[in-house]
Amino acid sequence: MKTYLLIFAFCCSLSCTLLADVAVEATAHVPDQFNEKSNDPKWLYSKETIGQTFLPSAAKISFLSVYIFRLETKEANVTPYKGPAPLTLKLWPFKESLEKAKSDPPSASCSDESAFDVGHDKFFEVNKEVEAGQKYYFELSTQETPAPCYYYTCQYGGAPYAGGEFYKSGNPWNGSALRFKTYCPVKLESNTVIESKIPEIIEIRFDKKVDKNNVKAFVAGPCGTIKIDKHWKNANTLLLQGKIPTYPADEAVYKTYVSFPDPDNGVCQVQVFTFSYKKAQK
Amino acid sequence: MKKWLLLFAISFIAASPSFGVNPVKKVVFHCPDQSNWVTNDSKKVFGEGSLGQTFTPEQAQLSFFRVGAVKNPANFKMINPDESAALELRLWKCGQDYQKTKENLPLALVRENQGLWMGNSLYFKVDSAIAPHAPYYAELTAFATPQPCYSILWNYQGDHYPMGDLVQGNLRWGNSDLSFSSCYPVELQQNGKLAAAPELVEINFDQDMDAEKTNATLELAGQKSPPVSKIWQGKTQMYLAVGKIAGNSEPLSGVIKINSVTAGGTEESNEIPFTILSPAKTEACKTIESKGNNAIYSSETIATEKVMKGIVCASCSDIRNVKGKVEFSIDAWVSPVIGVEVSFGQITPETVKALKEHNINTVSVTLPLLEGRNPELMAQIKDKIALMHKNGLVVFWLINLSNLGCDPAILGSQKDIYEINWQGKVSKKRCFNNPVVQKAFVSNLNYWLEEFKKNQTSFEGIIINEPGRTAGDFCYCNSCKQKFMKEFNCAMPEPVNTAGLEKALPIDWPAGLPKSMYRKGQDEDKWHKMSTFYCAPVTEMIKEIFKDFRHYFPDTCCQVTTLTDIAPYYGLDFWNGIMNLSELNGIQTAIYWAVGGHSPTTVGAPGIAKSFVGKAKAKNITCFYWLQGYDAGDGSAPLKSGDIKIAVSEAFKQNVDGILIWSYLNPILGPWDSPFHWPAYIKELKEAVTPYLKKYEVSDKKIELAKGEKKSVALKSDGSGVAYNIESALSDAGILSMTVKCNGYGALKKEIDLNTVKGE
Repeated sequence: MKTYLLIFAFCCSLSCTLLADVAVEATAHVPDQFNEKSNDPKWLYSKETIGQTFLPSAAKISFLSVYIFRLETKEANVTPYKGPAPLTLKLWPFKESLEKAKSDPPSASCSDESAFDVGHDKFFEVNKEVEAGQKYYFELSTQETPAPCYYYTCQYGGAPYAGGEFYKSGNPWNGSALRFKTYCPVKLESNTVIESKIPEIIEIRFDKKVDKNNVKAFVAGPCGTIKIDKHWKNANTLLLQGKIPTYPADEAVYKTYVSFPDPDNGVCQVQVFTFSYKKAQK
Repeated sequence: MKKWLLLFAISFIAASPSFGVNPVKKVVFHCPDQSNWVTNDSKKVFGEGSLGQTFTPEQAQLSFFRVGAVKNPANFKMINPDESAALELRLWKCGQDYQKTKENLPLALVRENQGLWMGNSLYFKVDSAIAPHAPYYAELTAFATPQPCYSILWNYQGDHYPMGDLVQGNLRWGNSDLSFSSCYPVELQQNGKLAAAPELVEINFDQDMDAEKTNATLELAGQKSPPVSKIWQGKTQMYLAVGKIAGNSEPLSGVIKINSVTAGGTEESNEIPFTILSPAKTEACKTIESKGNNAIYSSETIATEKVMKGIVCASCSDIRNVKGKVEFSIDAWVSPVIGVEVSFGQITPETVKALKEHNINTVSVTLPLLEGRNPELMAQIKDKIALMHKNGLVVFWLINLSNLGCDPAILGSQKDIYEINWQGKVSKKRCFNNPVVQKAFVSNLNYWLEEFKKNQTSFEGIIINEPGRTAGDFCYCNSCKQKFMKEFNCAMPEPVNTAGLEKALPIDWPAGLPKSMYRKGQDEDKWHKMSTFYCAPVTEMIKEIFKDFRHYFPDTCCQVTTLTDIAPYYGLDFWNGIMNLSELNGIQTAIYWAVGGHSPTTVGAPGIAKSFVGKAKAKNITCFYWLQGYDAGDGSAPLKSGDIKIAVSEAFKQNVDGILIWSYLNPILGPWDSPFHWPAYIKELKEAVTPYLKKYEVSDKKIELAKGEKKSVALKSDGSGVAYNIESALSDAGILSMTVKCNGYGALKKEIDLNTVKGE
């Protein structure tokens, strides 16, 4: 009888332990393809689409950001449309021509409802496997907007991005590029090494719903804390987004600290995700 | 037989206590270079928070950095086994400001486990080469502690360490400092001479030691041996924490005694005597040469008037002996007040010399907290004020009301003396509506004024610096409640809908009432009463200070300074309360253009001039403008070269009686290491004020005096109506004495030894 009681007690304590702990995972999102130059701001509405071809170097795109935002003030004698303006981003593998590529259903489609904004950059969660080195095309469109409502910028001329071109309403603008950035994910395990490019988004996933108000998360580098924006993607996922500084040293260690009260017993837990950033060797 | 003897000898040595080669390889003293041990508060460091200190080392090596700290037990769970909730210290050479400093990698990153806890001190082992006289910044963080685990000791105000400041977040707290020491290493030799007593002693052994049995003591001649605690790092390195050794100006001899026992049981004793030299012989205490006037001895004293619209100045030239008589020319003029705020610790001969050389004639100084008897502090104040007066500087005491304490004997152990906010939270501030606090305040103030009088330490003026109370920080202590009931025949109104509010109630200006959502509509009248009630203790306190100063020093110029946007300022009814005090001699306002990124032409705003200069002229009191000192080093826009020239010109266009330079958050000499730094700023300031230094000038008045003769002449400056009365006398010993008096501006007394003057 005693043995059964012991086993029962052990099972109880084990299940309590399993219940009490919240598992946390973290993924860093590192820029892959991008153009950050721009000299030509423009309006977008339902009469037109804008797009960009690019050559991913990684096997997955997690996020894709575009410098685009709703402008509600009069600009260049244009009075913007202020009504609802859903924005959609679609992704296709680029084949011989754009027509041919778009003849297939898009491999990913994201609406602005699930996107988040940081300043004037809109981040779409694409989360799609891609073939590194294969050309892709993404397109932004907005439906039922009778007048200009979104403002975006591109670099006209000067070939700022060698991996592709800007497209307006399906027509390529040779030597021009949209202001955009693609990200690839790197799962943060113990002392992950990230080479060449510094992450710009750290995604924290909890396996249980946690009290958002009591979750604290920040990134610290060699010089201390780093200014970072926080966005809750959903009840379980927190995104930390910001420009993480790099330093002259060949390698620098960064840590993401996450603390939260355990939903079952209220005890504060701390988890640290470490990555080392290594400069590209010349 | 010989073999047997040898064997016997070997076995005898083996059986008796062992004596071997001295295992002490090296003894290193870690002596304080820069430090502050004074504390009156603590701050928690955890999570994203940080706390730091800027400091300016004298030495080229930083071996340990001490922080006053207390570690509390952790109450959270660390998921990663390889992480620990540790305090970390990072060290940087200061850049232009906080952000620029942190753009570079730290020179050192030291974790708690690489440091030594000794009582309430944590010594971080930094071991870094540094540049003497350059500013550095040390920052503490505890990222992996989500809850407060570390209390860091610091001192609010008082500027006990003048060559740097406490930094919280990215903001510098001028006049506040961490409890810290930066230590440098000195390898101890037999009979070594040291500039400072060690805080930490490091003993290195050349083999593994018995940590239990190995001991060391530090003995100082004429002093009780300081209690030391030992800490081992590995088996070959022992540290002794000595802490702060009190010394005086005399050399101190001492000896360190080490009883070492190796892991193998070998015993050895060592004694290393040393001498700690007197501080006066060290570099830190340089004296400057006084600026000679062609070897002519000269001294002057300035007497000011209550309403100080300027300072009387005079110069003698063409001094000649002609047929047994002395002939000279005299110029007299009035100079506006040109003042600079200097922190107490920075009043040194070097600072005074620099100020004088740059046409500064006035200094405003904040004294450390005056509370209870403190003869040591009185002696320091006496010396520093005397230094400034000896150099012909006018001295204003810049009074922060919080720096005037209370008589501890009267306060006793009374608990009901602190302000209580609307949440029922007891503040650290004593409530001036409490009669015991009032009595203790007056008693303390009178004690200090009496001390100043006894020590012949006086100030030409006092400035109550931006008096007021935190907006919406209404006090609900029993004294306030009773007084309110007595004055208005009703209970104090309580705020509503305060869930989520942390500290002060949001306030509507200028009425000083809580915003409408935080008060009941029917309470509006009561809140108006509350707003009025709220101002009174500050005005009462100022009234008391002025009255007491007048009693001890009747000629003190009593002034109050405020910001330009008072209406009322932080719960202070400036225009109807302070301005109506009969003892008020001057008002001042602060115009800081770099705060908020304005143009220095803001200084010339007609609206401000109308409010301040206009009102002061109408009441026949003085009006000075506070202008911004050099680069603030915080979140405000950087001060640019040329700004101060524009600001000074704008101020004098508005007919102010003088300008005062507020060094803002920076001590004037201290970090950050801004490109537009103090030497450049003060040079520009000199150029800016030079055109305004002489007004109502009378010049080239020839006077002839025989030995033993006295003369009195009256001179009037053209157009202004300002008249000077010049009294001169030549003693038999050849000392020329002059007194230049000018109604409304005070008097100047000057003595010149003519014995070295040549020529006919």
